[in-house]
Amino acid sequence: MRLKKGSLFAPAAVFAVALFLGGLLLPAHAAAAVYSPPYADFGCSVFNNWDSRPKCDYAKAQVSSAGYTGFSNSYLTASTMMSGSYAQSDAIWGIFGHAGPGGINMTADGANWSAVYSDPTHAPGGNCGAPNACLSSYASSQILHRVRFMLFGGCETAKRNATGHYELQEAAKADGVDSSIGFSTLITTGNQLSTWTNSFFYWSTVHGQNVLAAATSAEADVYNTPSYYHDYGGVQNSVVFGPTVVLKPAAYGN
Amino acid sequence: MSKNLARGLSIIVVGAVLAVTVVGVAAASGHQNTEPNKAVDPYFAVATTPDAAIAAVKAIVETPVRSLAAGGMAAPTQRTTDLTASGPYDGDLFRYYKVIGRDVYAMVDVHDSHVASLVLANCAPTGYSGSSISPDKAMAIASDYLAAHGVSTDSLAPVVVAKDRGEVKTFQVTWQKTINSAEVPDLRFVELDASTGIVFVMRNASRPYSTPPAASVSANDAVSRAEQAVIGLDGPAVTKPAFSVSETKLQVAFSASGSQQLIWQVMVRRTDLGQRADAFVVTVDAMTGKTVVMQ
Repeated sequence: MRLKKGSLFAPAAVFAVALFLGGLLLPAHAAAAVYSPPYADFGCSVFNNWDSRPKCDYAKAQVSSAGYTGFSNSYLTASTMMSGSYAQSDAIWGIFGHAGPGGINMTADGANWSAVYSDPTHAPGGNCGAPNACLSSYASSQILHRVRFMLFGGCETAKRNATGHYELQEAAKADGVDSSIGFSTLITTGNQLSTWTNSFFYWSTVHGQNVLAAATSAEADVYNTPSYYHDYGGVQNSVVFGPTVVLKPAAYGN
Repeated sequence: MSKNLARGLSIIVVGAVLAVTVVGVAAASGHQNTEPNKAVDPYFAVATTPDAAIAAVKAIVETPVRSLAAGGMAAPTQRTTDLTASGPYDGDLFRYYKVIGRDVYAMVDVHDSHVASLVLANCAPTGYSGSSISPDKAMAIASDYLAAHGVSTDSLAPVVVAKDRGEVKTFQVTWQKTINSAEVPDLRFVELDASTGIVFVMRNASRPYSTPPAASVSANDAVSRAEQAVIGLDGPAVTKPAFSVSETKLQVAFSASGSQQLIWQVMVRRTDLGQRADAFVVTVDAMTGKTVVMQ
């Protein structure tokens, strides 16, 4: 089963119930499903100053207005975000969180962390089990082939490793994901990523620009936003896989 | 519990939450639309019409550009019959109309009708052939593109940067005027496909300004102030936090009422917190030292 929450309010009781039901009823790889309209899941974290829920809310609002069923998720683990009820049933998927090359983190409280890694070399002890997950675990099954777009919304998620590889995005591509975006440098905690996210999903899912064009249109919006003083906050350093993929009309990938 | 029932429950939960929470989502439901600010910058006075804005965009995208691209490849043409203008909206330096069509996204300055930002969506690179034009060629193409559209680069020196955008490679050519080491509102920018040389982004960010004074706050002082400003925001205020600074630039900016400012922009991040550290952009007033953390 799948219990999804609005992210703006998460009273402790709802949180506790969600965790209980999630732990009880959510197998790590529940059966994937195809929904109509197609699903889009965004995962957010809350930790000190880093509260990425507004980014999830922007993304959800835009894709929902474009015909997807969008969800803004908080208080989930990385393994849940990758499970049969989430990534494996999604047309669009994204995480906003602290990150680095080869991994992006999720936390709800700063005490319990999990991460989606590209492969076991980045996972603690080489273990891709819950609460973590590795994209490489899904390559042979191609169970993510219906995902049309993945967003890795954190610092250096697209920084090339020592051998020149974009680890997260190459792993996603090996899983059958049609397109993805990461960032090659630091990106700010602040509003630039929120503006970029809102704008990117408008241009890609509502207006119908392809993924690369939508990213550059979003950069133009960030550049001209008042109070940013023409500072992109790092979002100009997006790295695009599947540049010609179009996310309109709402549909699953190939 | 069935999945449909679970979905129904989740919808009820979401609905209940939203019913009592009127925060943010309404603002998120549309594209970025910053409404005009009440404290009026005189430069923001509207002196043109939406139709004039459309005409300005058409004048650019319908003007043939001499092909300097590899193999003489011609850029795709843009449909202009579907262009519509909306706004005005407040930008960082100017108030603008958005001009949007299937192939085009532009911002047109309401003060003087100049096209300040242009994205040619159907010209965006589709892949990387494995071979690239040279940086000199990229600069020549960008210069030619601006000249063909009457955009001057006089007295501005270009900087060419090879941009790795993953499965596509581009060149970004920037002409940024500086006075007393400060970036002033006089910039041209062109991004083009490194394989084909086809231009797909152009910016012309300019507005009147006064010659900025020399900064009273040094770059080192600005960085120190920025570091102090972020201590405690994303981790414990330890005795000796470590930082990395990935950007420091001095630039002219304008308040909402149009008064000119001189600011440092510093991008700083704690390095003693590992991946769980935030990166902040801190604005430091280059005359007074006052800091504002952009959040």
